[in-house]
Amino acid sequence: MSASADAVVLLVEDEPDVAETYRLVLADEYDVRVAMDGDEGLEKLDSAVDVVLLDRMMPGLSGDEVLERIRAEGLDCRVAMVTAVEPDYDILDMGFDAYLSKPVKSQHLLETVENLLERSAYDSLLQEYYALVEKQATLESTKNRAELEHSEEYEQLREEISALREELSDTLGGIEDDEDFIATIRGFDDSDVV
Amino acid sequence: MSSEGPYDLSATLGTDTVSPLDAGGSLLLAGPDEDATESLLLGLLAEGHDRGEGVLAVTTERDAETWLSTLQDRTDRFDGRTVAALDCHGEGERTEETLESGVRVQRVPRVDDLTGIGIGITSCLQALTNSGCTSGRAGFSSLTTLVEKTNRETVFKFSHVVTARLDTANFLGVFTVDSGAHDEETLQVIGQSFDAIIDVREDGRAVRSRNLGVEEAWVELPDA
Repeated sequence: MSASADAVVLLVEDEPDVAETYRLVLADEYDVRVAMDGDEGLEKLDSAVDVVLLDRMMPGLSGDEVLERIRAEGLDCRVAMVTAVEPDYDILDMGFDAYLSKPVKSQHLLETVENLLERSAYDSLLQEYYALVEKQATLESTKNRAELEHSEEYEQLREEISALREELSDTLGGIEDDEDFIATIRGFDDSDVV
Repeated sequence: MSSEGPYDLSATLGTDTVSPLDAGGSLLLAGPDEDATESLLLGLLAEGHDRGEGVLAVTTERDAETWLSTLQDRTDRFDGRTVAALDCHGEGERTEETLESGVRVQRVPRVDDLTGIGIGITSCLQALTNSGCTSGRAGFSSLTTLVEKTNRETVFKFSHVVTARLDTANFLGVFTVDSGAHDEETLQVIGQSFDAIIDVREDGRAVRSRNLGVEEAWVELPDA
């Protein structure tokens, strides 16, 4: 996502030194908010936040509980869990979008935030793509072939669809990564529940 | 171990019905008779297996064992290590096991557990890669069950993402849908996730390609 200058990242981390380290790494590229515990994290969370980096082990509200609240409120942000132990895919199943194992290297931190923003971009593109495909199907089922061949609207729609399809296959490397794949699909399960 | 280049499906689908698909392409088989449609799907997978390609089968209506035994009957020399199955039909918990034949089987008890299916597909692809399969064919039977349990928007997006993942894994994706169970518009929407749509005649003896929602002439299938 190239418009990352506007992206907002919320850090929820109870160790001040660690939080400051992350902030310094991210501050050049993103608008960074810092919260020292789960309660403050929820206070600083609003619809402007794109990515949350959430420490799992914190006094007070745990990372899991904060995540639960975020999902319950239906906020459209991506949440990466920062953890001391390397978890498995079940983390993604719990509703996290990614995890970072401590100690977190600067490069990995930046890549993770970038990747999560790209996933959001992918979801938006897919939504847009679906809307156009549905429109095309409506036209196809209400007009005959001759009418379609002379319809400028239809022609334009087909061009837009083909351009979007191209763009989707260039985003997230065409879903090459297992974590991107599972997290994207999990998003469909979430939207079903609502 | 595996073949390279485009998939020539003419042996199973008859010449000219569908132009060769690149490795990673995707195909939707739509027919009013589910047994006939599934039989064609099995034929395509068996053909791939006999060419040394990996086979990944996702079943939503039958258990994996029934499915695998039919596949086995249609192959020349069955090698279970190059076959993986994801059974989304049963009940209980998500499990995984390796059958005596060497086939890796993942079970996801609910077909609307899309996350579980995603994890299962990932795990099957990993198992096949570990067996040395660098390309293969994945069959998904059928999307109709999924549409019934979710909705067409979800199924469209799901199909798009799964075919994209199969594409990067060099797997040809062949999905089936019961054309009698959905309206024309829904079939068009779902079909848009695929590189090609093939109609399978009720008797399973002929196929035709679809273009702009208009059917081409039926092409009789070669004898199996």
